[in-house]
Amino acid sequence: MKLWNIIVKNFKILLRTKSSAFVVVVGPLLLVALIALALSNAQEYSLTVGVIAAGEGELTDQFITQLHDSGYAISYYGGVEECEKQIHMGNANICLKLPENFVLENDKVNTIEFYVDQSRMNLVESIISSLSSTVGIKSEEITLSLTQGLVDTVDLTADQLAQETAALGEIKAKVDSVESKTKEIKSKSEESSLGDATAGLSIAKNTVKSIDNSTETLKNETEQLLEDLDEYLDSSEDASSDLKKSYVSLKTVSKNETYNINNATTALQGVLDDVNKKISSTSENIAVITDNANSVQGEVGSIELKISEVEGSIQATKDKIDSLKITSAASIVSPVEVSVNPILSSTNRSIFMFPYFLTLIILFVGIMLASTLVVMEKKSRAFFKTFTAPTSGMHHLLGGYLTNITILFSQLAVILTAALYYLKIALLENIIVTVVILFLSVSFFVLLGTLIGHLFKSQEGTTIASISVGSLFLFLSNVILPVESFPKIIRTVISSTPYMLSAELIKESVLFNVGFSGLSKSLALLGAYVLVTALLVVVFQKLSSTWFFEGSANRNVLRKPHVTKDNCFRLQDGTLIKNKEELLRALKKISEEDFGIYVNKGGNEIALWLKDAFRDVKLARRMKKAATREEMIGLLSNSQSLQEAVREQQVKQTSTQSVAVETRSWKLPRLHIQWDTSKPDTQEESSVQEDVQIPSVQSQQTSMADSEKKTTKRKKSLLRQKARRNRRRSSEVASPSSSTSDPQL
Amino acid sequence: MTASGKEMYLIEGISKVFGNNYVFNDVSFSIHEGEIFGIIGGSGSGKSTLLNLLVGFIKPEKGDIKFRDSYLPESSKDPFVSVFKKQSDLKKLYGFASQSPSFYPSLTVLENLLYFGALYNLSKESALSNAEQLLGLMDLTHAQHTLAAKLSGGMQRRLDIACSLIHDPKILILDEPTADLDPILSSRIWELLTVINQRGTTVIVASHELSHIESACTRIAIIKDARIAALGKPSEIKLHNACHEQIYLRSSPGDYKHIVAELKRSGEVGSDIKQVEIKDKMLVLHTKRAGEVLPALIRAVNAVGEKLINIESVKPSLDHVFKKITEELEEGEKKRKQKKGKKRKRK
Repeated sequence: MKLWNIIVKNFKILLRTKSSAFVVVVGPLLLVALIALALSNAQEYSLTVGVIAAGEGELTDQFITQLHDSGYAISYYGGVEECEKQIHMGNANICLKLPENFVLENDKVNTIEFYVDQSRMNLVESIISSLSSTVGIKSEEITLSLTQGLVDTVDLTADQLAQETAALGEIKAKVDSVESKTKEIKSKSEESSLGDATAGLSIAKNTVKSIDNSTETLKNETEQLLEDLDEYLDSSEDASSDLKKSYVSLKTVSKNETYNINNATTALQGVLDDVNKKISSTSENIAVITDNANSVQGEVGSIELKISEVEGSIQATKDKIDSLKITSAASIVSPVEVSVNPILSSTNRSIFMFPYFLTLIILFVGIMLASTLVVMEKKSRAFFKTFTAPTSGMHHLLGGYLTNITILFSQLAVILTAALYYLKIALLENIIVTVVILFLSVSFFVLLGTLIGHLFKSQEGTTIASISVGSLFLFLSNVILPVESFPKIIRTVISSTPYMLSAELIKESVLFNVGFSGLSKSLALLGAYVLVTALLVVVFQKLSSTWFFEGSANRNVLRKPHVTKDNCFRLQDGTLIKNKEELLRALKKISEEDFGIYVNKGGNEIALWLKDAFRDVKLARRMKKAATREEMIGLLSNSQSLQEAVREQQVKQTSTQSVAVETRSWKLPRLHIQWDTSKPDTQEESSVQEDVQIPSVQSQQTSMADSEKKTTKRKKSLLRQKARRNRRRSSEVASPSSSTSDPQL
Repeated sequence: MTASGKEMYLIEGISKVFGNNYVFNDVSFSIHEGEIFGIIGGSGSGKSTLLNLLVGFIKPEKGDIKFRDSYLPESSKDPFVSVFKKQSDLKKLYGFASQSPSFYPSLTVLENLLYFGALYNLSKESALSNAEQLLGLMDLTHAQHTLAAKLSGGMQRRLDIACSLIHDPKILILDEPTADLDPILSSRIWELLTVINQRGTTVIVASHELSHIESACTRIAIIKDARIAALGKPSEIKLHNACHEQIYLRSSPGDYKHIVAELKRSGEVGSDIKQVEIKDKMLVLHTKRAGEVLPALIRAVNAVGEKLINIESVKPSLDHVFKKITEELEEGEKKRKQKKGKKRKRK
């Protein structure tokens, strides 16, 4: 229960401070709505791509078309420097340089170069990824078409080969036929082998040789014989034996030789017969061979034809294959390469984020410090005295502003010095521009913090508001989500927020060394923010001093001079009207002159009273429009609410008796000694006593009915009895509160 | 310092509303130069509001408040200027010590004085000189280098008043200067105010401390029910409201009834005694002619054989007046209501 009470108390405190309630309740919802709006953006990022295309070509056009189709805004630039400048100015998110001679060739590397601003840490990867995927898509398309070409060619080749396989089958058949025929020819040739004939001829030759030899021998012998004969003759005696020997030898030889010659001749004859046979079979074979040869010739011709056909087909396929320009696997797989070039030379992450972090520090420190200072002053005991002194609010404002500026710039000096030495950021190159930007940024956030301090009355409200405002600025910036992820309208707004302006200005000044001329627009806008905020601060400072002293007054009170504190209507003659019934009666009685006091050109007090006291807006409106007393009487008579009031009154009257009995005196009786007991109680005295005894609240609210009259009389008599009893008690001690003098005298 | 009679402030028919309530309803009065003007009223009666109105911090819904602008040339016809129009001149004329002491707790006493001196465009030398004088007057010299947060309640109050006086104003306005202070300190503050007034400063002070108001103030205004219920010197107000003196008698054994009866029987005082009561075992007689009643009472005591232990006469205080006025107003209101009721009954 205690816990519950504490929780309820906390809620009451939070919600009764309207400003805090607004910030605590509405602030986060607003943030959530913004986040939802940002994340609901269908398009991932709205990027502007700066295209640098030196030459034209089909492939160049295809790539640019692809970029268009992917939803990028395209801007064309002449060169990389021009495009980089546009990135600096925020007009482009990335530069894309297409190759000069953008054609696909074997072993030619086509490189598309990206130039990115790496200070956009939360966006650059997405940009590269997004564009790379776009380029990759196109590259894939090219790869696909090249591969498709290859595949088609392979298919065609396969078909062709299928066809050629059939042709080759035929050729093979024919070759087989030729082979068989050739075998036959071979066999026949073997059969017709003149080897035997040759051998026979050799034998014949040898036989002839032997015959020759034999003949020669014979001849020689004969010659010898002859010679011998001759010699015989020359020498007759011994000749005869010799002759006989020679004759015998000749005979023998001749016989032998003749035998040999016969044999040889026979052999020769056999051989010649064989040769004849051979020759005749050879002739047959030759005929067969000739036939086969013819047939082979024919078949060879057809084979040649087929081969020519195959050759032609193969040539065609070769031509087809030769027609494929890109055959390098590397060129097909990656027809286009991507190269990413940062426009900043440094790769240190801290440097890229430095402007945003610096602005973040200025934002939070500026707002929190300034608002805290204001609230501290407002809550300080001396705040009141600042109003009494003849020192204008402007002095105090300026004093606070300069205090905050001094503190912030001291802090910035430390941070920048550290950045100069550790991050090696070239701050000094564009120092004047940077200082001016820092001055404007610091001024804005300090003034904003001052404004928040004046708007909110409590430290808690101020703190919550400061954090909420800071968070809002932070969210609507490049730090958490890239600006490009928001819808277009919000993007436009975000780019103009002071935080974004400050961060971008610092970035351009510190990282890109952009001068005043390049930043004039943004500087002017930031300056305008400073001026407007300063004006608001002045206005709200004056208002807050009014709020300090004055609460809100219901000016209507002044228009109802006849309305009492307890919302009764007091007429000029003192009559007190508590409800509509009494009002009706009073209106019927009063004169026109008196009526004019309450209802005149200046206003209708009765209508105002009805509206405020009874919350009867309708009746009040009608009464206000009523011109005369009679009209108002009529309206009142007819009003349903009056009838209800009458009914309520009746109910009250019936219960009044019981209520009256309960509402007895609760005050302690006054103990005093009446000086003159013989004198009857004066009416004044008794009425005073009566008033003292009866609780005033009840006497005002309950209307007097007949039963109440009786009660009153009864009360009076009771009180008189009490008073008499008190007089008798002379030694009773009065209570301290009643020890003060009785105001009777 | 006696009041010169010259009016310093003219409050003309002001009405002020907060929310649905009238704080002031057609109130008019004036404050004279050189006086100590006291403002009395119950809690929430509008004392602080009146002070804020006097310095122009809040505007009334009706009426105007004017002050005598000493910066105007003497030849000007109307020396009075609305406080809402000439704030810069008015701020130079007055110093305001609010209900809670107003200074910077993180500054020392002297630093506070010098700072506020600077706010009033005093040169460093003037501020220093004034500060020294005020430190002496407020008995804060020994604590001039002490942080204000470390001062005691009384010293803080004195510092606050000193800061309000650093520029030597013609008017010093104080809102409950002795709230939360013990009686001794409270008396010291009131003495200080008297001294300040003697130096020529008009003092306007709102307070609950009726006894001090009565003794210190030249004139007082009693606020009740959005109106000035009484205005004038304390003695005049008491006289006008016919407050009775009280005679307190203690006797032994304390048979006061007999004493009263004897007094009555003697017929010496008659109707001089308006009320008799017994309070704290003492007999209390309310009378306007204490000088005559006192001896008669003593005689009555002796006559009945009582032993007189203590007898004293107390003059009506402002406290009584205030209560009387307050209750009279409430009674009047009730009577009116009752008359209405009776009229209705007759009808």
